[in-house]
Amino acid sequence: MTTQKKNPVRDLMRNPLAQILLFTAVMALLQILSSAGLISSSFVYALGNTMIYAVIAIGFCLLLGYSGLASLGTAGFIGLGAYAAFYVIQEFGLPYTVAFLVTLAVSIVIGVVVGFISLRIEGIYLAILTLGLAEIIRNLLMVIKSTVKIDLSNVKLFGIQIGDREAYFLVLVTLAVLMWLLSNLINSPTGRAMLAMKNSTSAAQAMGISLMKYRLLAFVISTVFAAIGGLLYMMFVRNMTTATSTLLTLSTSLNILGAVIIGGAKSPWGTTFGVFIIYGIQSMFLSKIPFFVKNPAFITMVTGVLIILVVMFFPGGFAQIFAQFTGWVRAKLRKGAAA
Amino acid sequence: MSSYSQVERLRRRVELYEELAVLENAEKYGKKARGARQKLENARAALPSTGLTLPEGVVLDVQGLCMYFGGVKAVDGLTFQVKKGEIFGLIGPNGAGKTTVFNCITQFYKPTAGTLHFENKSGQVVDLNREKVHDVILQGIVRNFQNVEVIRELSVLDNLLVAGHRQYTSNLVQQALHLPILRKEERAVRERAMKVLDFMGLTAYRDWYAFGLPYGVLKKIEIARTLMCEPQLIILDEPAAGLNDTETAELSRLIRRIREEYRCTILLVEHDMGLVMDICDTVCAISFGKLLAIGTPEQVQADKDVQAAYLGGDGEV
Repeated sequence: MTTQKKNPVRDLMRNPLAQILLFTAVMALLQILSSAGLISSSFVYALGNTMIYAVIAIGFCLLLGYSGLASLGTAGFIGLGAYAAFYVIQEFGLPYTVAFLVTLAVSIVIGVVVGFISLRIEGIYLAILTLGLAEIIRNLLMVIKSTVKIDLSNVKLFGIQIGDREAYFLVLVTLAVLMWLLSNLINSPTGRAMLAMKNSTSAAQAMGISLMKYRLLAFVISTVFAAIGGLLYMMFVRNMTTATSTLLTLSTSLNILGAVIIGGAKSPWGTTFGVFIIYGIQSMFLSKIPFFVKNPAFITMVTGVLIILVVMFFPGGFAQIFAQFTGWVRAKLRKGAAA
Repeated sequence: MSSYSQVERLRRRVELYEELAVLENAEKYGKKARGARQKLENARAALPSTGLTLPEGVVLDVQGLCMYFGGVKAVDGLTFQVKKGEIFGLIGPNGAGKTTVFNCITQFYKPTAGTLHFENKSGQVVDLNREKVHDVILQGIVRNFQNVEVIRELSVLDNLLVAGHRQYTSNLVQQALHLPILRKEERAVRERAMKVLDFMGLTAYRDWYAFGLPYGVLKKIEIARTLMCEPQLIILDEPAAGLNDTETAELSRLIRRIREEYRCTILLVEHDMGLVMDICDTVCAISFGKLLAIGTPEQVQADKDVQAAYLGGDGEV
């Protein structure tokens, strides 16, 4: 405790808003570098794709890490957002803002209805129920329309024509805003109430916390984030063949679950990192190795091994690894300064 | 018609604005406080009357309480009254139904039969059976748990903020945007929590995560949590379980101090007879869900049925 000086840089970096702005700046810079031809565009495309999954995963982080509820229905809700985007923008020719509001409304309504029915049960039963539901939604969507495709050539947002680059920034800004809202919520009475509920339902109730209210809230928020993810996917990737795409299948729900666990279920940044590990590594590196191109099933195996390792040795995920590492570095530095 | 939870919320709003009027901007918040006060009075006037009364000096009236689990009669026609400001001990052999009584009062269980009337913080007599489990705290009833239920993933201070959950009036949007009103409210609740920590001698543990703290400290955190909620009736389920003799002696001093400082009633279940006989004004002994004896500690100690229940005799010991 010799030098407990005020460190303005460290204090600033602990501010969630500063973290988000830094993240946004770095991601925007990568896109600009790619426009300048310094980075391959496929890398930036993979980055954008990964950020879409990050939107979905941070919503799930609130559900799993704070409320302690495990849902396997994420993929179904992604589908809702994707189809809402398709119908509003492509079929009815309405602007993006309308698509966004429709996605919001649909996901809130569906989230409340599903949550109200299913949140009376807990644990593995909730996971199975939501899994079944997601399959129902997927099959329903497939019957309604097997391929959805959006033509963005005359879609504008705030007067700007949306192209590849604009879609990337749309994804980035959405992720940043949602991240900000979520970290505010986590550091407020709501976040604490959810954590209380996860630790002890009886203590939470005795302290005046309504289990149904906060479970439903967490469930609806994660549903909304997933649906927004689906909407962004349609804006960024623009087409999906529901029957062959894995986006709306269990594997997406499991990958999101895996990303949240690997990253650290209580940390939105850890979760984002987890998404980059699972989706980023897959699309940026593993898909370049011939062995994995030939045997895509092994990619899932890599994910599986990672999850096992993290759960066994670092149950707090990468957020925990990072915290332990910085603590270790700081201790070393202090020792060095004292000597 | 308005509900009691609305009234409580408005009362908190008025308190917050009044505090801010003193601290920050007298004109702005004074005006808001007057507006909120008007609303509060309207809501109070619109509160439906319960039409219930309790005898003078009684805070909790339990009449014919029954709680059956299938064929098991955990509590079977129990009747007793708790007087305002007393320390009331509920004793009985293991499995007598003591915790079940607590769970009925706090509505964790909905009683099979019987009435539970309680005089709440604002002097109104309410029927507890009509309250939801998470609304009981608004009436001024707070409890701890036999097997410590501290939120281990939160710091000690945050545990107290969780206990102050119903004192926040900010809505979801204000929380998601971290608007100034939330930050001001947070500061006010935090200050309240700091006072409680100071009273309990827990200030040193303020920023520690509850995970890994010694058992005695966890028990204290649970009691601190109850103090956070302007208690009218504190229900303690085996507060001395797992504590050593010194800690138990400290606990009995603490319970007396709580009663004096917070002017509340304390209802406790305890196996440590030394503690019960030392601090309780009234003791109620039950066995197999039925009342054995009620009275001063000496009376209950001398009761033949009580001795039989504890020593396993046939009532003629």
